[in-house]
Amino acid sequence: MKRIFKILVVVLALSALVQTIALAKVKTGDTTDSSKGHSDPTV
Amino acid sequence: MIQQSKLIGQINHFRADSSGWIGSVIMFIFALIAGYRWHTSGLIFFGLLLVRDLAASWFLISRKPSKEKTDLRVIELIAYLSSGFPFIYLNPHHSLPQAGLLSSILAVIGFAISTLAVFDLGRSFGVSPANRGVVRTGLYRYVRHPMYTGYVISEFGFVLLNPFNYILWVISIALYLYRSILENRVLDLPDLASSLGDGRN
Repeated sequence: MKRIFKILVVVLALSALVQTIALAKVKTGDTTDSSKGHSDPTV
Repeated sequence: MIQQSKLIGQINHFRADSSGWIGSVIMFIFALIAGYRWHTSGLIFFGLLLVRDLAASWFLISRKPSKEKTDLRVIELIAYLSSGFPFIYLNPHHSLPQAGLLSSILAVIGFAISTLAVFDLGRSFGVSPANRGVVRTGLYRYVRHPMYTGYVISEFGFVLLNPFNYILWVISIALYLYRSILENRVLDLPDLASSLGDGRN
């Protein structure tokens, strides 16, 4: 039983790490995209 | 004496361990807050916090009776103040560009270590120094105080977010060291200086 909970902790921690890094990359991507400005659509 | 801590144990009567019940209610409230934050923010970090606080809440009402504990209320007060010390860290200011990401990573790693340590302690878990048997399984096989080690790692993230937090971080480490020394004495373990000559106890 204890081992199951400890595995759960490790899985949650790894998931949190992946989520944190992914969110940071998305945030960096949003900042980069917004700095490019808007381009008018061509007809 | 080496004892194997069990995950499921008998719940203590309130009169037998009132401080455990009070601490358990506090940790349960923290767990509810963590659950709410997980629900509203979607950050899995709060899920990790929820598991940690629920585990601590359970172990505080099912913990083994202490064979020996500190009689001084001042020491108990210092232990609880040390536990709540992270709340006074200053907000981010003059931080480096990647400080947010690094501090989040450190927080996750640190809390994971301290949460695993809570499960390793099991029914030997407590806030103020008390002798409920020496645990030498799991992380305690490699580090004498893995819970404090995890807290130090996670709190260093605050230093990255605001350099002025460095002084608070040093004070926090000093409090953990003080608690470690007291716990070593209560558990009749050699201090770090005397144990450096012999890596294993």
